[in-house]
Amino acid sequence: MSPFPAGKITVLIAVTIFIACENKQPVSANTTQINFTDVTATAGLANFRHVTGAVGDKWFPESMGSGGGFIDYNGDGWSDILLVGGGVWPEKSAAVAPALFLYHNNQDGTFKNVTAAAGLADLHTYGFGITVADYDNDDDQDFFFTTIWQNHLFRNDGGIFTDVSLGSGLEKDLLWSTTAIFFDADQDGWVDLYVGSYVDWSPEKDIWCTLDGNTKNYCTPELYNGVPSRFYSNNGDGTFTDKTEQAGFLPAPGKMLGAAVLDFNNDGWPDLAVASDTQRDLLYVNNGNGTFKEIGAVSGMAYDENGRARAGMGIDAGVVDNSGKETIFVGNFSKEMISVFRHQSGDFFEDRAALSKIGRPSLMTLTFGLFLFDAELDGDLDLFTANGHVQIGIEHTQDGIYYREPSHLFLNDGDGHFADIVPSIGGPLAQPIVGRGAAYSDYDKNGTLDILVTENDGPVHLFRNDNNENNFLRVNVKSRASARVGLGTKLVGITKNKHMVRRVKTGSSFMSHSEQTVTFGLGSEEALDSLYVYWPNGSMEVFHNINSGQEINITEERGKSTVQ
Amino acid sequence: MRRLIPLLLFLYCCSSNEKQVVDVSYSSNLRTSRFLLQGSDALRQHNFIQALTLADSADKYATQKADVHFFKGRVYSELGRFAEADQAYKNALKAAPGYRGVWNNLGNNAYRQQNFSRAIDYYRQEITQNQAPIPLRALGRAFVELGKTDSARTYFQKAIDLDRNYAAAHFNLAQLEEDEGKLKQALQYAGRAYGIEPDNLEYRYVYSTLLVQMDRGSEAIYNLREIVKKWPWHHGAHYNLGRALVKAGQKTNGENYLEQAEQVRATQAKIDHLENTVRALPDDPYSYAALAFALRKVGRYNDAMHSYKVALYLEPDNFDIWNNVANLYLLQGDTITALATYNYIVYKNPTLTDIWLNMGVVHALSNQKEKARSAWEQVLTYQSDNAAALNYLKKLNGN
Repeated sequence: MSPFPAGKITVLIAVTIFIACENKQPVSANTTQINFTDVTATAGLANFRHVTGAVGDKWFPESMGSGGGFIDYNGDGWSDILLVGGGVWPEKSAAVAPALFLYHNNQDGTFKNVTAAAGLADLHTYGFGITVADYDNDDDQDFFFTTIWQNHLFRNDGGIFTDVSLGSGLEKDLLWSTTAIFFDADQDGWVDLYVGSYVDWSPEKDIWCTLDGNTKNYCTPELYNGVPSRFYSNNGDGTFTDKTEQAGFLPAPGKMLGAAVLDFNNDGWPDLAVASDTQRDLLYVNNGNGTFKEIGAVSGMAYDENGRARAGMGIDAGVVDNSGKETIFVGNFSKEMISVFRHQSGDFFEDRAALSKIGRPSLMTLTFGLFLFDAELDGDLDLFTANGHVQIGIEHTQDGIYYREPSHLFLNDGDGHFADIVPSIGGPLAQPIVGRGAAYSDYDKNGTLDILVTENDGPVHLFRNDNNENNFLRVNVKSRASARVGLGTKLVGITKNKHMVRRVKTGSSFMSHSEQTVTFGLGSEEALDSLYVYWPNGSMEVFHNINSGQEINITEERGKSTVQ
Repeated sequence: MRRLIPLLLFLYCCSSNEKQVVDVSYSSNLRTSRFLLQGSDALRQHNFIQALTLADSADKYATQKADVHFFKGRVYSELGRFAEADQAYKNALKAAPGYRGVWNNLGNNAYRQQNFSRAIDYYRQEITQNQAPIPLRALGRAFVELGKTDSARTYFQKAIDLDRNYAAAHFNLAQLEEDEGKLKQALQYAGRAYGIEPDNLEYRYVYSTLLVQMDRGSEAIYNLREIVKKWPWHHGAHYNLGRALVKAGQKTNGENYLEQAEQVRATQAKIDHLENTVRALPDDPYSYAALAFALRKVGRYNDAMHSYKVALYLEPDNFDIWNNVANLYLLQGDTITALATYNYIVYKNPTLTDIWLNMGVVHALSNQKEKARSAWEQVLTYQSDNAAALNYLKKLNGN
């Protein structure tokens, strides 16, 4: 029995499986060398460039950047790449910029631009974020795209996307949307959608801001009124209903930039942590029926230790130490630590930014994209952050702060203490960039998790993870009884020395989407001793002795799951 | 913590956090010294124009000019006019190359402009000539801002080695330890700072927040309540008090403070923005006046007065701002200076009926009925149908 049981276990089926695997030599995690290679050009992504449409007006959205990530659009099991191109201002430029770029994974380390073939070339807007899920339960990956105007829902029809926004119920809001997240809030088997909104901005409402008293620069969000985010319930027929108020998401301060699903109270119902820019961060606890109560301030995760709201951007949550408690990480502005809040008990969280050793090294950088993943496959979750400032030329007015910034890769010692290894390993992660979105996937299927980072007004970067010394197990889940892609499924992997808790989810990071496959780093272990699968519908299954070096698919059937 | 301190620094360049060296050590004659001491008094009261006028007077009689230049540097620093301040300090160095404190104050100016590398150079120059706790600690603070905490720790410790009772340096070490997650050590240092200066609310606050972070919030409740009373504008105190109360089981009470904290925080965010604006537009009196107004609204009267006085330095004949200054004196309980200020305004422009009206009210509240009557009658001289003046006079006459 797992020490971290789900709240409503109804079925327990023990299945022992033995699946052939590649032979790998055990290597001590302590000797693992972390190394990333920038393969952007060789992968065929060098021609991509995010555009802001900036022509000197310094309009606020131009500093935001956008996201991107991984999607398996053709269902071949290989991660393809979907990037947001940004946009231009119609009244300022006659040129048109593609809103989306889709790159097909050629399964040999390269990608091919298939935007037009996939039906995505004709959309022109000013875009920000993507989130991917099978919203219509037809066994393929659809996606939702946020913009400064109308958002778009794209249905996947055999690798061709159809814009089904009109009539979906999602097309009505014309607000500046940022990060969106699919999750099954009421656990009815159909994924719902939370769409983050930022501020009430338009060219007519643009405010003149300056750093030097003479020239206009980008404003900070304090000057604009926040717009509350929205929650849409999936009707199960391809449409959604706005239930923002009924589900308990109002009132809200707005200025939302990131959202992550967690289940901090282990009741089996998805809770939602929201990062807000210069407003308090929010924690929505699920009432056990798909409605929520906001407890951020009381829980202690809404502010820094002085009650000050920070510039929350990217966010993620996961179990990073032996406590078994979930910890929330939020990227913030320069001179603000990355937030680290670990669940304590009841509704309370404790601030561990300094204790985790993440706080101080993060003070000089401005973090957007942020996610937890097992970088060196040693069984614990590490933290990657994509950094970059919003003010061009900030180095001239603020000593020690730079517009282009290196990334952070905080390696976890297994007990929630981290060390940024980027200064010591150098390489592509140390290159200063204007980082924004960030996502991970094992795009080359070698077991290690690779990193995709977008830049504002710049290129995309694909950093291949060359650590292939440690063993791994990759798990895909599908569900027939719960939402098809198994969103919300909790997986607990146990080896002799490790107790790994993972969750199948969308969202997290900053306007980006990572793969939904769960990767267990096994270090030198040859097999996962036990794998506990906590399905969203409350049932639980356990599998034993799963050999490393493979990717398995677990499909939840009614009563008994199948493993391939 | 880190964000709180610069905020306070901006307005208090001479607070415990950024000690300006103010010695008048090279005074060349009695007359010069007298002018400079009067100037220092004026500066303390944020009367910048007066302070500079007195400096000019001192300059006239000074045989050794370094003191005068140094003093002018201080005035311009407080006005946030760093180019002029730096020039004045450099003039002091030209007049007396070993002048104590000049490099330190140049460092402070660079620090306030967020040019920490230059600040470090200046502080090092000061230390070369003057191995004193103040520049040593200042050097440590600049290193903190550049993320060089080992160097910072070294210099804080050196400052303490020279002066064991240097509370600010203990406080800085507490902040360093807190940022490293060493809460127990941080509490020890904060306790020392608080012990040395028990009236310092900032030290008391940090000591209390450390207790809250260490799950000893119930020990901090009394202190935090006291701080909230004295600093009702301080969102951190409200927030931590709320957290401590909730954790102590006083949920409703705690949640009330958390709600207040959010309101105070939102107000503070507006003040932060206004502070950024005056930093970007240092020649704009209206930006300073707007900041002053916001500070006055939350009860930070001394900070508000500072901003109003900077605004007046930039636009000396703006009677709206003068009126606000007089009103602020009233709020601070300084009726005499308020009346003197009103008198100054109507001396400059006797047609300002609002000022006469206010003077009348102040006199009436002081039971100076005839003076009140005289002031309100002045209103009618310029505006015979002024309803407020007529009403006040009617009340005064008992009708």
